[in-house]
Amino acid sequence: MIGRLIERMEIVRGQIAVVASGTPVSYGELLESITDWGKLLDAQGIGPGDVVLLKGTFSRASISALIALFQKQAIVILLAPTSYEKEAEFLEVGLAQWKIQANSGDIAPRETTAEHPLYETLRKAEDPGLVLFSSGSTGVSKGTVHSAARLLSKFATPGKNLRTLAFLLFDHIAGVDTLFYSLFNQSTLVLPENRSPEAVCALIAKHQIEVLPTAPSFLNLLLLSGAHEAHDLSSLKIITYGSEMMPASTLQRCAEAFPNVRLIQKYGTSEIGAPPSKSKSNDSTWVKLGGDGFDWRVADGKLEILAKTAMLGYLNAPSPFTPDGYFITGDAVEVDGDYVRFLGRDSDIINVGGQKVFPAEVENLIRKLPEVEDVSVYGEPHAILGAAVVAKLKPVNSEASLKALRIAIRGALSGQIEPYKIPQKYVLTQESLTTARGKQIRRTKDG
Amino acid sequence: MSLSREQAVTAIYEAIDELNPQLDGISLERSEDTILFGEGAALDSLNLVNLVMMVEQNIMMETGTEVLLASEAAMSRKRSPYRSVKALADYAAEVAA
Repeated sequence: MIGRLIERMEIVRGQIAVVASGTPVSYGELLESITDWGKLLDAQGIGPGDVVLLKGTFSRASISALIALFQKQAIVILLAPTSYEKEAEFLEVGLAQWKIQANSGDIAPRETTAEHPLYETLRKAEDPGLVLFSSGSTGVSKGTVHSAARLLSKFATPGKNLRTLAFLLFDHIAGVDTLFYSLFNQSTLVLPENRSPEAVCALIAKHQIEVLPTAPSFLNLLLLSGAHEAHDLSSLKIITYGSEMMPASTLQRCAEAFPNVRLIQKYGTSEIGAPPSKSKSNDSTWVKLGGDGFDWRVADGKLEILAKTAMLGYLNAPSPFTPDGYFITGDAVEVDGDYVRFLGRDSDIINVGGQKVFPAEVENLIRKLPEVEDVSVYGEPHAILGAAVVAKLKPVNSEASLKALRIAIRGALSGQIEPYKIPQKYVLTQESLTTARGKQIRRTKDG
Repeated sequence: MSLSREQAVTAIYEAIDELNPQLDGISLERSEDTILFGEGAALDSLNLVNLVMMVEQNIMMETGTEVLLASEAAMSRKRSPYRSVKALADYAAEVAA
């Protein structure tokens, strides 16, 4: 697949591949960088089956280093800035033999044997590898091992040539997906230096960006900031969102704010890649998954996915696949014909006196209130009902009193949802309620 | 960082004022004799949880004292601390001491 990518890039040498730090880089220039990295790797003797941690964010250097490493059939562990504090863990669990700093070009060896059955599988198949870490529920990161050839195989099918913002992260499956979709389809990828709503809107206007792949919490922030009204975003054709539950209220406001943009829900995980998806409509959280080498089914209310781009396995955890190869997502879904709707992750379900509460539903309603900037809902053990629903609130006004908010929320939710779903406890915070990866932070009790 | 019984009663009355508008067709009185939970009581379990958590938070805000009013210990008492305003105030002052 890497050979095919290089061929496609060669055809459009004169076109702009990426815009990095405001500077356009043509496909020809990117190919030159890839060749330069190839020489650096050769000089160090980095070759097939070697395990290399590549540290950096989206840049000309990091993109060309990644492609050069794939050409050498190396196994690449990605590490982007939001995970820098996990570097030691990734190096250790990933059994990295080399560490490369993309921007400085530093290449340093590490003392390890890099023996792992999954790495052996890659070496035998003579495939380049990609290791992406995802957070585990226990706090230890899980390393997903992919065959890069398999992961990229879906790009053999031509897609659309649209100017895209590389909003998602370099070491995240969705970021990798964005990068290779753009390169395989000979498009232009604009690399952001700052992911604030204001900076992102300015970049969209300046570079006439057509696709914004993002996350619901960013869209929520964007609408709250009003930045979309201060810039001309008429070039935008598609906004994709994924990586966390999309609150129906946020989606509704997005559909109203961007009437001429298609809103598409994506569902991807580090384990299986990103299957094709199609939202029922702009303001619908129902989504059609699958096709083109992907299949899905529901067992016990949970989604299971069969994906041609699935990982080989975890470095440090048991297989999450069924015997017939379906990935057990743990996501509870409703089904309507070909469409599914996500209800929340299994682990997020709060059981109040025997009745289930999905935090996303409650968050969705609370977030609509003008007093609330963001909210995270989670369960806390409670002696009376087994669990209590706790709402951690980030108020719009940092001086807001807990009692006033509590009264406003109870009043607003009363009659809208079942009483047991209305949070019994309220906590104030001034901190962000989403992780750097755009996921909702739940189960973080005070202190 | 301590809690007087008087403060506990005030915290409960404030919670009652806040809860009353949400109760269906009933209203709790600001009185120590008001029955909260159990036989002849006004509150269902969910509203009891709501009331108890409001009281905990009111006490926290007013006095800075953290009290846990719902615990295995409270549940297993012979005389339920949730029976009446009086019982709850006694219990709050006791566990905060």
